[in-house]
Amino acid sequence: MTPVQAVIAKELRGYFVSPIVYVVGAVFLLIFGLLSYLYVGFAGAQAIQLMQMQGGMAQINLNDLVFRNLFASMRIVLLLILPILTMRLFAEERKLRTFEFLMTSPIRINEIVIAKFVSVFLVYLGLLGLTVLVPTVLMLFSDFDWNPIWTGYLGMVLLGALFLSVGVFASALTENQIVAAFVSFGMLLTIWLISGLGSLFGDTPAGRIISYVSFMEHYERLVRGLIDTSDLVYFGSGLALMLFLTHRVVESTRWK
Amino acid sequence: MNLKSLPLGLLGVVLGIGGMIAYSLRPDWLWAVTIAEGLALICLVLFFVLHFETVKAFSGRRSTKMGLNSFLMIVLVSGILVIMNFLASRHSVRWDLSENQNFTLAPQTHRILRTLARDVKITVFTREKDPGYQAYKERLESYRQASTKLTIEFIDPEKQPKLAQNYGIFRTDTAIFESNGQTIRVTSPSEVELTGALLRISKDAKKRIVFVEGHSELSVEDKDRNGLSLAKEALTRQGYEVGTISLLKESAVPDNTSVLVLAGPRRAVMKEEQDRIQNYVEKGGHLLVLADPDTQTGLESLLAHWGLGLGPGVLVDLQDRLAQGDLTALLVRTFTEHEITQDLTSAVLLPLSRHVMFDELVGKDWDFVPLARTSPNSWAETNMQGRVVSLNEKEDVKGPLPMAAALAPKKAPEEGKPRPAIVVIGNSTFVSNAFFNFPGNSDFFLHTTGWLAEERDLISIAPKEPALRPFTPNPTQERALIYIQVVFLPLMTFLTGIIVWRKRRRL
Repeated sequence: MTPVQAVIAKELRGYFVSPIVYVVGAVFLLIFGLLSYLYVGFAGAQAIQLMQMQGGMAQINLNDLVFRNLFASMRIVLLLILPILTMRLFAEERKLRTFEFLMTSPIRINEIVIAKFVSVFLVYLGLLGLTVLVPTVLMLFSDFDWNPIWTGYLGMVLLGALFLSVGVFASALTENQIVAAFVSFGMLLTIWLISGLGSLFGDTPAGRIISYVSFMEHYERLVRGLIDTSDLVYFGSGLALMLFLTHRVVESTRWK
Repeated sequence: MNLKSLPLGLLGVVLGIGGMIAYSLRPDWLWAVTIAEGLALICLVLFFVLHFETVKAFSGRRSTKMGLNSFLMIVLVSGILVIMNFLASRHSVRWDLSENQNFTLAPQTHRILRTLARDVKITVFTREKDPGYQAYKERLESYRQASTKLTIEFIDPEKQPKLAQNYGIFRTDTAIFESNGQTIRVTSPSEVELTGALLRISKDAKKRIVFVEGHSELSVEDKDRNGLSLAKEALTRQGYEVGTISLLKESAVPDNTSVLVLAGPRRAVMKEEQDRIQNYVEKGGHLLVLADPDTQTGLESLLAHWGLGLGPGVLVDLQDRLAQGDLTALLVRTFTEHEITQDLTSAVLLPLSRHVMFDELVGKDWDFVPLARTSPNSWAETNMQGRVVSLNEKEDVKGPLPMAAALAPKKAPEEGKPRPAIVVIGNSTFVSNAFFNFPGNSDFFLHTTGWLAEERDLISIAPKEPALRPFTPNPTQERALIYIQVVFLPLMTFLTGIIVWRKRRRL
């Protein structure tokens, strides 16, 4: 086992023996299932209205009425839940004074950062994997296009990875888990709200740059079924920047 | 550290920041800001001179060096990421997996964007909460990606009322296309509208399509089932000017006429009128004749000049017909390879039509292309009395028969002269409002007029079909959804958590 794998295994064990991941997972799955159930209910009623309003020219299908709304709503759920998954990663080590052991171990800092991120990312992927049951069940009763759903899931994977990397960074800043969760929550909310600032500026170069910084438009395109390489680069570079900053913060404890 | 000079440093910082805030609030008080910033600079310089040794020691410290090093690295990495994102957003590749290909433009739009001759500015007046906002945004983004000649601006008419007033905007979700002093207004974000506007704005001289009147033809102004108002609208959207002409009043067809249309005359066309039409075609004009069965158009002698003829009887097809319609409601699927028909994807619905004939001897100078044909299981029925129709070998004409044909001279015209062209279709009702929205019909008509007007790039874009798959769960399905989605999954996860937790407690 390589050092990275060892750290990942240790972190995963930590997740699965603590009740946090089960509680968070249960809440996450409950919200996902409930939202999709509610949207299916609304879709039936909305379909009749839309057909009357637009003379049958409306888009009435589960992709548009259920899954697009579902994925859009999951943004706020991820924003609230993922900081709880990441808050303990570094903060707990600092609190329990095991951080020094880690720092003096032969494992390099970038390996530690990557291993911690990968472990929480795997937990998140597991949760997402369970949610695939929801469209699978719907598939038994109705007909829809799977392609936009896969891009929606890709959006959730990328957005989750970005959120988790912000959480890892926040966790490295402090030894208090609550503070870590709040810092990452605050940072994510700020990145979110930046898109509102961007739309205030309108379609000017400044407005476009500001909107680009927020994950909103990038995520929305994926949810609507469009894979654009620039969006992939956005998520990739956001992730890389946050992990790099985490690396810098962890390393700074060596010379501070 | 010498604390006596500390206020000097603090004063410098406060003055510096205060000056900047003051400038952001009152940019016109530049003199005051300049004085404040100047004083701040003096204070800070004095402070650093007085503390030179401390600063030197601080900068020599390991943590300062490491911190600076770290800071520089962060700046460098951020810079690289910014450049990467900049390049990626400029040169992105897209895969459209959306259900309706919402982000994919029609090949015709791409062709028009590629050959766009001059810059076009598009200003969209819309608000984020308006229904068309998202569609405008997505579609125009695809347009912008495909052409560098477009400038697109979104304006909220509530926030910039003056600008909206200047453009005369009285409703949101309106796009204004501007180029070379021309303006075109579009009120729907559909690709048909947007591309049509782009096409019209990029051309100065508009081609004129003129409908002959005076013989009870279908009228372009008529909005009823039998009118041609939808066809007129579609032609206008494609950038044509649509007009009418009475050949009895005019002494000749005007020179600026790109296509002359005879849309189903019910009364005989006079000899003088026929001469004027013939003159027009001989000078290089483009003629479209739509003639229904059982009508005395009096066009026989005119068409006979070019070897053309209108067949007797009504076309009956046992195979290519509308499922619920009778044998005369043709649903034509057999097309001959031609510029008009090459992009046709849907069948053309022709209610009650007649066939087109060609005499090769008379028309030896002309290239005759039968555009669409009936199936081999068809004939032209000359006796429609009674309901039962069957092929009578003696009287009827056995199919397959062409009901539409294009005619162009074999020889190329002299340098600089227009090339005449004629299209004859044995039916006029397929263009009427009742049938025009049938996708094959509008395509066929617009392709035909486009070919006649020699507008190779003006071809219709089929609007995207909305995905209509409604789903309302029945009570059993609803319960199943609740049990599996809402109860089973979260409960299982929660129970696993409890088991793990209890196990841990026992350990």
